Amino acid sequence: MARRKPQSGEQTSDKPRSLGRDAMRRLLKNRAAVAGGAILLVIVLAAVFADFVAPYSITEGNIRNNYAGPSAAHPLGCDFMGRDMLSRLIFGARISLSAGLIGALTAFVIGVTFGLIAGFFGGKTDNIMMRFVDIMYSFPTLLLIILLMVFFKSSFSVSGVAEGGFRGALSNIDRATGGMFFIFLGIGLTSWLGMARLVRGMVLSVRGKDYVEAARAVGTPRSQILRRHVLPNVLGPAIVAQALQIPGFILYEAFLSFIGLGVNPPTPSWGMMLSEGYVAMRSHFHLVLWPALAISITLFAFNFLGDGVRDAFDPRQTRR
Amino acid sequence: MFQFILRRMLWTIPVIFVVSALTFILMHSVPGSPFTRERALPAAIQKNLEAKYHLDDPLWKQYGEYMWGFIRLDFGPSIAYRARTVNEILAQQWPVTMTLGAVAFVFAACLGIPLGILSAVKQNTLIDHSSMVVAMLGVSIPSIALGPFLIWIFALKLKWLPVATWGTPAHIILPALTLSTFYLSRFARITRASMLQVTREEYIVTARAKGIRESVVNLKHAFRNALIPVTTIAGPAFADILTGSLVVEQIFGIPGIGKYYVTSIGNRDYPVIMATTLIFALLIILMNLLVDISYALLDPRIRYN
Amino acid sequence: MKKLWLFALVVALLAGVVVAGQAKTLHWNLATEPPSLDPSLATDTTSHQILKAMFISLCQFDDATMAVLPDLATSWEFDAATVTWTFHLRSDVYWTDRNWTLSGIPVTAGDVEYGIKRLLAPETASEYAYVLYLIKGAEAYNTGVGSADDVGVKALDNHTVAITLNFPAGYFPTMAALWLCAPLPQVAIERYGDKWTEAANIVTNGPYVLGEWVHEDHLVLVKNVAYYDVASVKIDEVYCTMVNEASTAMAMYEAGVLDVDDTPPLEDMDRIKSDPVLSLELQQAPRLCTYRYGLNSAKPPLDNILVRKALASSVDRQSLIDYVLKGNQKPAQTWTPPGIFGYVDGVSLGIGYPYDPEAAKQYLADAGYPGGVGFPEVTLMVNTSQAHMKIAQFIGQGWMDTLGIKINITNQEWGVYLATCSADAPQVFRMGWCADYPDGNNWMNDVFHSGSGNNYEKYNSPAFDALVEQAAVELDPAVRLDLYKQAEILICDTDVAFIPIYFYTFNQLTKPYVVRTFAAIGGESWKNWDILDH
Repeated sequence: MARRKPQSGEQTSDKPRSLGRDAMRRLLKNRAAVAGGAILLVIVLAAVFADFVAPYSITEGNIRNNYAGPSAAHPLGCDFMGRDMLSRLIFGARISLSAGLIGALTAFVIGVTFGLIAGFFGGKTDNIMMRFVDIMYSFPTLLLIILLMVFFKSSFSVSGVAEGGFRGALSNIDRATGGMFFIFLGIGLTSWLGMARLVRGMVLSVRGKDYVEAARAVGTPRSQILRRHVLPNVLGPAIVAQALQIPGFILYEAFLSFIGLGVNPPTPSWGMMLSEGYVAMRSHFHLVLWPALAISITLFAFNFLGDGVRDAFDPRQTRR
Repeated sequence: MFQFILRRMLWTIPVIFVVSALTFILMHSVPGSPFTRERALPAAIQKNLEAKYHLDDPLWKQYGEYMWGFIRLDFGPSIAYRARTVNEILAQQWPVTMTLGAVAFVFAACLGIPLGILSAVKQNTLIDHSSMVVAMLGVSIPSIALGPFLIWIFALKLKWLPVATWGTPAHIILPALTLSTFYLSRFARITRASMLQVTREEYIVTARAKGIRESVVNLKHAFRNALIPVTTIAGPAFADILTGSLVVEQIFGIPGIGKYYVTSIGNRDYPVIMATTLIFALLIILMNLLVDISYALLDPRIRYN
Repeated sequence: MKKLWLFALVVALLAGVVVAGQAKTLHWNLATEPPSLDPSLATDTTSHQILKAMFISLCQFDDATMAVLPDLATSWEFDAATVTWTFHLRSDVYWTDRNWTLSGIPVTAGDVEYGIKRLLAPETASEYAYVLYLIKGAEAYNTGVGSADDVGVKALDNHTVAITLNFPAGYFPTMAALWLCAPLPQVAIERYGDKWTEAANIVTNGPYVLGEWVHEDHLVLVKNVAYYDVASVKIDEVYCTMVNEASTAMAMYEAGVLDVDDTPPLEDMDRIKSDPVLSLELQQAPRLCTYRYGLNSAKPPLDNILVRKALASSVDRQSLIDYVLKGNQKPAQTWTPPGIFGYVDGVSLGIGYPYDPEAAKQYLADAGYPGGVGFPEVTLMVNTSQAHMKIAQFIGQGWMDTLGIKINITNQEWGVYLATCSADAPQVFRMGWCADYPDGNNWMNDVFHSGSGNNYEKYNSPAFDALVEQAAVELDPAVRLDLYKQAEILICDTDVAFIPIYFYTFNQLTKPYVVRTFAAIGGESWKNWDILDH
């Protein structure tokens, strides 16, 4: 198998496991990253099992408890409808984390597909596709997402009687997710450009490697080259790079809520709770404190874990 | 180098064409018109208004006329603010946002870069960790909560600074601080990472081996090269100024351009939407070009072909 | 010439007094940039607030009673034979700019004629031109069919203007109090075009002149020393900021930067009421607006009147006001608010549907959905705004809890929302209405007549149309009042075309040293305010 002989010190598809194990060992030694990971795990578990963890449902409340401070029954207090803040925070984690994860995933899928195609086919295809990316790079993301969100919300999240077809299907998804769906879509559609560039760059460098050239020379089919050589080399770093973007997507959701393009109440999200709460800061501090803390702690944990993962996968940084 | 710049400049033409066409199509596919009112306007009045702003022309003609005006730097009238042209809005509101962004950027650089250097030099010590915690605090606290909180503490409790609005240097501090936290952490972390990387490069090792004092090595050699990644974030950070400034301008009542991004879409103020998009696209292109040029100046190893 | 010289002297003297004495400045937050300071073009409350300080019209409203008072016109009479209103104008009203250079040029009847004809000119593209379509020849001119000369507005001499109408509208003086009938400075408008409203160019005649206008930032009004009643204007300067964020404006008020906060956030109401200082500074006054939930009676299951009755009977308005709005608003069972001619006290007369959960359940059972079983999901849509979404959550939750049905609460951006509501309104949607002029015609005929563009419910009742058409031309107030009562019974009780929720209330924080009035119809009369030493 001479054509797959790895060069010295080069990471190839042949030894992903040992590399991963190596990285994992380095990661586990990083206490900050481990702590971040542990916190995230708790939050994710709470979000997934919200139905069992949360003491109340998201709509359950007594209006007489409106804006009530912490008590035995409601340890984090109540919101304007007398609904339990803790429960809404736990259920809100679902939306905010999904906004981060699914937004990142959407961007990942689009970006990787785009980058793979451009990098792998090269030539004219590559040229046209990357010019398109360049153009979209100059597009003010903010404006694009506001226009897109307004457009989506007007076209698909419409009233009353269910409709058929594509429009109806999208509208039903949107309703089922409390308006989340379009947030994910909007975030994803405006955030894939960096990923596309990164992946294309990696594909090009992998394609240039001797063993890939060799594989091609002996007539290995394209699909097999893609599967055996390109994908394994590209996916790992791409996943890491995209995971590092997740905190940004969580903040993005908060920002969209602030400008009125967030989830539909009464569905809670951290961003929605935050933008409901900041107005009341000096009167009902708990309304802003908990969602802000939830976002901050999550981002903190993500960032420490992210830095740890990056250090772990890039061993040069820890050597001195 | 010159050829490179020229080529990049020519490239802006198709970019502007595509961005403008996309924006135009998108904004006209959103329901509602600039004259959608809760008290529905009679058809005759609608007709007068549409005639005044040429909204009764076919779309391709409107687009063509807009672009013809754009080329001559005439961005048309604002429909929502009837005595103001888009040129005036840009001339009056852009500088405010740019000032705010620039001050925030300087705040971030002045605090973030030293923080990054410090934590790189003292890698894996308590100083390193606490610096990074401080840096990450910035990126983790949403400005929607931070802004009102700063107002509460510094304007209402301590009475050191004005609550909001624009005008004197004192008015800039709180909003710029709110806006800067995000870049601060980016600056700190990227400076740290690139410092660590650079200090392992051979010429630094050589310098050290030659017995040059550690502090001199750190500052002179490492810092200069660490600037490259920092310049890299300057471009995207510029774009983020706008996203961030929207929140900050809203909370602090600042007369910047950020709010127009939301209100112009709400008002269906087509000329304002087009102009802000296109000008912003142009600025992004310009910033990226500047970043690339500064690469060349900072690192002679980078060549353009 | 001599007169002009004398005038200049008086102006200089008055200006000197202002400079020498302690200038009284009112700090006010406009919240946004006024979209237009052109009386022919402005359509929003922010602009009207400033216009009211700068321009006078033929008549004005009394702040409290909304009675029509003289302003530029000292008296007016109606001639039934020619269907003409004749207004007699003051001779001591002058145009002025911020440097006082124009003071001495009088405001004439010709300026009124110019103002109205400019508003109607199709190329002005005024949104409110249609309000004056009751003037003879106005509609034809505005729609490009007729000419300006055929419009029934004529300056008979410098101080007399005659306005001929299409029909004898008894309420015309209330329209003459609107900014639409204000005299306008032809010279300035023609010299500067669209830019005539900038501070450097504008020429005005009201209590204040525009001293400075820094767009999006602030705007300063300075007492007009050439104003005809300048002696009774006590505040020398009004400094307006444009801070849109309600919580920030509240902070500015608490820091003493603002003298008035006219929109304290409802999230702060508990603190305001319990704070020893703020609670004393909170003032409440009725506001001529009504909040309603429109019902689309064409969409099932709302095509069933019993379902609409069930929904109407399960809105706990008092709890909404006490726990969500917290602003002492008044629960509404009928449409026209108190203070408007045509108001009927629905709560005590038993018109409309009070909160009655048991009755609501019974209605729903009678409609064939006992306990909400088999009831299809109903969409409740509001435009995107924290406050509207809070109200929707409260009312929607109330329906779900009381009736055991499912409500899908959703929201759309304002422009999209209006497009949706007029094209294909959801089953339940939010709307509001504020008075243009204090008469039931503005509430019944202008909103729910089958031909009205404001009738988002698509309410179509020949009986209702007949009632409000008759009320529009009836002259006997007692008969009119009864007609409006019958109309209320028909629309709110018999047909349940919509659900009235509450009548608005002004909630404003005012520093104790500010002596103020409340203008129920909107647009504060700063000329009647004062600031005490503090």
